[in-house]
Amino acid sequence: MKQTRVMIVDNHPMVAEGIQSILETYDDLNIVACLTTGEDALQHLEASLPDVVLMDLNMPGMGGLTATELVLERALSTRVLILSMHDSPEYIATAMNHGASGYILKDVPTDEIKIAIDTAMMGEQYLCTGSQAALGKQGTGPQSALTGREQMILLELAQGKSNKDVALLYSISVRTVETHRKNIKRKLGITSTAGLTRYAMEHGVLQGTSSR
Amino acid sequence: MIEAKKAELHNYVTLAKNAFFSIYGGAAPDDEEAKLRVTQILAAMIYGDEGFYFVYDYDGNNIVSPRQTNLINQNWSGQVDSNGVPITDELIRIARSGAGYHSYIWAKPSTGEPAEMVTYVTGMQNWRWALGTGVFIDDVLLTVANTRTEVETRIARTFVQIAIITFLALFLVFISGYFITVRERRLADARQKALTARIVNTQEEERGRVARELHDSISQILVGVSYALDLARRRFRNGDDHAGETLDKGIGSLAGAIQEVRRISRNLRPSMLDDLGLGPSVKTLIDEFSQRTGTQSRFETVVFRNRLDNDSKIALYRVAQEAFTNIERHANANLVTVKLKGTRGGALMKIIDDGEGFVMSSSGSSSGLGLRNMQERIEQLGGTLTITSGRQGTKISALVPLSHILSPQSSAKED
Repeated sequence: MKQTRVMIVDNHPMVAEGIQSILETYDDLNIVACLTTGEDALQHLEASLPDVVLMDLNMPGMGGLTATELVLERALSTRVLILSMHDSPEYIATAMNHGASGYILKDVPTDEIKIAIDTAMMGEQYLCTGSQAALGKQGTGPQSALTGREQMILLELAQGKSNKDVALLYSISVRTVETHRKNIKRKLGITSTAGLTRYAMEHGVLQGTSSR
Repeated sequence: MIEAKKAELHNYVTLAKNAFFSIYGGAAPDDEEAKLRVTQILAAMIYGDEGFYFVYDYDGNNIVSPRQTNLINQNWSGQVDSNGVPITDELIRIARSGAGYHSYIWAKPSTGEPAEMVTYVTGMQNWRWALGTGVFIDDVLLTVANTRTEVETRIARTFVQIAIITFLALFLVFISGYFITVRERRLADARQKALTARIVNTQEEERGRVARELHDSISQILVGVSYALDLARRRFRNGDDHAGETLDKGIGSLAGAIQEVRRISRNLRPSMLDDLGLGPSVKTLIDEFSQRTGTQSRFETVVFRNRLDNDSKIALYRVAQEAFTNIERHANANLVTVKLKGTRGGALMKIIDDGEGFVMSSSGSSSGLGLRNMQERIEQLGGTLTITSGRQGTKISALVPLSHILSPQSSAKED
């Protein structure tokens, strides 16, 4: 039987160890790494090759959301499930917007973690019991905001950088930048790079050339 | 005054000339009898204390000097006064060329004291006589000096008066200014004290509330869990089948404790503000508000997220919180709209309700204090908070300047 490779990223050792011990009771799961920061996760990504990353949302350093984006940027087949204390719809919507495959509240019964992993492995999204309720109240969730990565790339593009420049700057592939660019333009409804520049200026995030 | 004296002298001499014109006019240059008669007339014409006429012939011989008769019939050419001013020669020179004034030091006939005198002298060319009269101007000088002293005294007195008045006025202004300042400061102090007291009170209340919540909810739940675990252990030891049930109960209670902690922590400070930024946090606020009050709400924002620095995020969040509290308590609104966006001027948050509005001057009340707190928080960031309120509702706009919007670079590092 093929085991699912799981990476756990949580800066609370008690929680990380707890999850690890629980997941180790399942024969079809292989815990390949148990780390405490997003930065560590990125570093061990190539060595561990996880199928699923269980990612805490609140961590020192880059934090879970950014880490999620960066993991997905580098390992296209990996799925990320967010583990969080926060049951607010805004968190859930933002996490999903950053590419997570599921959202699990830390206080739900641990069975759900296994269910979430299995669901993600089937290529579907999983929202745990409490979070479904939270999103349900919301309806369709907030308007699609730019993710942190998309904002960064938008700002680079708005300053006249080419896809290649941006790819070099963030050490990602040009195709990934192209995907980001497409998503940004779609979300903003803007077609030209000049339009992106003007948009950034008008919203105060790009302040002339002085920020360079 | 001297000019007046001079004119007077001129008149005296003309008068004298007229007096003996009948004699002089028809007399020959050598008519000794006519000369004698004129001499007598002139000698008789003394006036005032010192006034007299004198006559010198062009050779310098005195002919008439009624007050100082010892001068008569002596030659005075070459005579000078104490300052070396020529007297007789100059008088004769003036007389020869017609008429004119001369001034010099002369002994007063009455006292013999030397004093400054002005003389008008005119020539009687037929007889080669210099006729003149003089007046001592020491009294004039004295008067002038006196007048000057008096004027100076008066100026000095006026100056002193003005100085005193100025000083008094300044003093008055200073005193009133001082009192106004003191009063203002006292008012400000009182206001500050009230504010501090309120802050301290709020802080204490908050701490009390948190302590109570921790004690009442979380401690009690945890104690319950502890009992449950204890019971489960005992039941395991005794081989009781219900041990698992007890454990489940304990786990269930723990979930409750986690919920409680989450609630308390979020009330203290929404970590969402740090994690997701202002937009989602305000959105959560407004959703909760809507749910609680049944008020319709609308939220508009842009796609940018979490680009504000910490101070502005928390300040704008508290402004929103305060605004919602006020709307809930007082406004009786049907619709609340929140707009949050970046602009060329900075980050702008607008909270608009269609409620009853309020009168701005109610600064003494607690809601007034809340508004002032909002104002102060935003102003501390160099931003502006404007509140307009009327019958159709209240509009609050808070603008935080561009400098609080994170630059791409710093946020890239932060991310």
